[in-house]
Amino acid sequence: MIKFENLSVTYPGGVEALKDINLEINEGDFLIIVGLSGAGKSTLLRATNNLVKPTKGNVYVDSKNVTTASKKELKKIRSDIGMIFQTFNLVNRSTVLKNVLTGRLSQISTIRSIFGLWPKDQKKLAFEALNQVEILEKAYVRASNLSGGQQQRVGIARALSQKPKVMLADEPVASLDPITSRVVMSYLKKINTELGITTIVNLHFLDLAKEFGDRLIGLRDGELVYDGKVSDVSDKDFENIYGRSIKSSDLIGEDD
Amino acid sequence: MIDLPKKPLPSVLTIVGIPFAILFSIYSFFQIGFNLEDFRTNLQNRYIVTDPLFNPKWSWAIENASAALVETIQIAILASILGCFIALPLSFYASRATNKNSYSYFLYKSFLNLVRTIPDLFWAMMFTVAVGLGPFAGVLALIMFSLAIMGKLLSETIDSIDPGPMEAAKATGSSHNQAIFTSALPQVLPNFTAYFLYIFELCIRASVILGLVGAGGVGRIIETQRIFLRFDRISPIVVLILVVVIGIEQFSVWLRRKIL
Repeated sequence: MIKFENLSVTYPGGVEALKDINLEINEGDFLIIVGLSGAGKSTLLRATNNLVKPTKGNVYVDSKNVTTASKKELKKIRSDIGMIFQTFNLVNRSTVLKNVLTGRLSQISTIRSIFGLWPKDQKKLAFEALNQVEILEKAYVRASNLSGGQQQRVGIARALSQKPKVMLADEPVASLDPITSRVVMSYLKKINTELGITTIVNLHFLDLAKEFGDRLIGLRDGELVYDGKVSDVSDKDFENIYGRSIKSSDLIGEDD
Repeated sequence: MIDLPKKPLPSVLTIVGIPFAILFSIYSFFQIGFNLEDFRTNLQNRYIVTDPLFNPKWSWAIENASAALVETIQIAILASILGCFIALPLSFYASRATNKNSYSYFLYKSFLNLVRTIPDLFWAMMFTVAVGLGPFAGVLALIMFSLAIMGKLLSETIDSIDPGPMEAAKATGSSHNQAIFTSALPQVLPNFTAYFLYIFELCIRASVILGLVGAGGVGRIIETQRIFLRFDRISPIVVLILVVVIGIEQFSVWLRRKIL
């Protein structure tokens, strides 16, 4: 489903965020990427939909080459990839519904989007997505009036409304408390199992990774240092990924 | 007794700058001919200035200046609306946050800077040449005036928006313009409204004097009456302008509080 081929990313200024990554992700996978901040997790995720351009190598999504895609092809590829963010990236002053409709922008003309002339079937998809994360009743509330957990669910709904084949989640729970974090992770897991959407999640909480993941990737200084089943990961492996012993701040802890 | 650190000497800029500023001010004082005595001598010609000034011809002013005053307000309304809405798309091109192309960014930014360096009365003079005397030239001049201020203020506001929502929109496969309209514009809309009301107030004041160069409005009447030294006709017009300007400013303040 997704293939990274000799992928390297060097940022202007010379920081090597990713070094020669080779990785294949199968359809329906629930993949978790762990690593310290700066290890290249976000870069890898953003290379998937070309928000970050590779310096070397290729990225394939659904057997289409993302790296060499034309502008038009790239839009098409991106419309099949949902993305959710650490800081939710909602337009705070707009309503929940408008935020979710962003997920449908690629399907309507610029003129229509400027004047907010949304066809009924497009709106229906947005409402359905809101219903899937059980926040439909907030459709006409301003995004800024929601709690953090609710905002992230709107973020998930925005991605869901795209009817994506792939879901990318960049530290989706880093700004949330433990209880809400588990709620958000459960939604992602549910979407993965029920809809079969290939999901990649960046996490830095090791216990959450163990709790929800199937497959786990470890990144250290831009290099792939672990790839295996979550059930097989030992504390030793985590220490190798982090390059140091595990601290309590690497764990989100129990609900209480 | 502790060793106190040595107090640093005043900088060269202070040593040279302050005496220079003082001397230059004194020189300018004499050069310009700053002389309060002039007030006294002029006010003594009471038949020409003071008496007519305090005997306003109200009926004449209302009869002859009302239409021009309305025209002044019309110029300001039309120009601030058109200018601000033309500036809206330009501002997004003149901001680094929404225009990643360095060349076109530089081009739009330079255009806005150029328009801003030219004073409003100068624009008015140029447009009276281009489209003839009258309020249309005034509207065009104030469009440039509004556009320049809005372009500057708004593009700088856009520079500091949260780029996150734009990235999110891009990630869904939307076009650049769609991302701007749905994710960047809502973030600056309150600022746009506030700037618009501010610019509208500036335009009201600016349009009063447009008539001095023949670009329409009440300024034209003031200019003709001033040539004939009819201060008895000018003073009521000035009072009328004052009332209207203060009234509109109060309305604008009220509106701003209501909206934001």
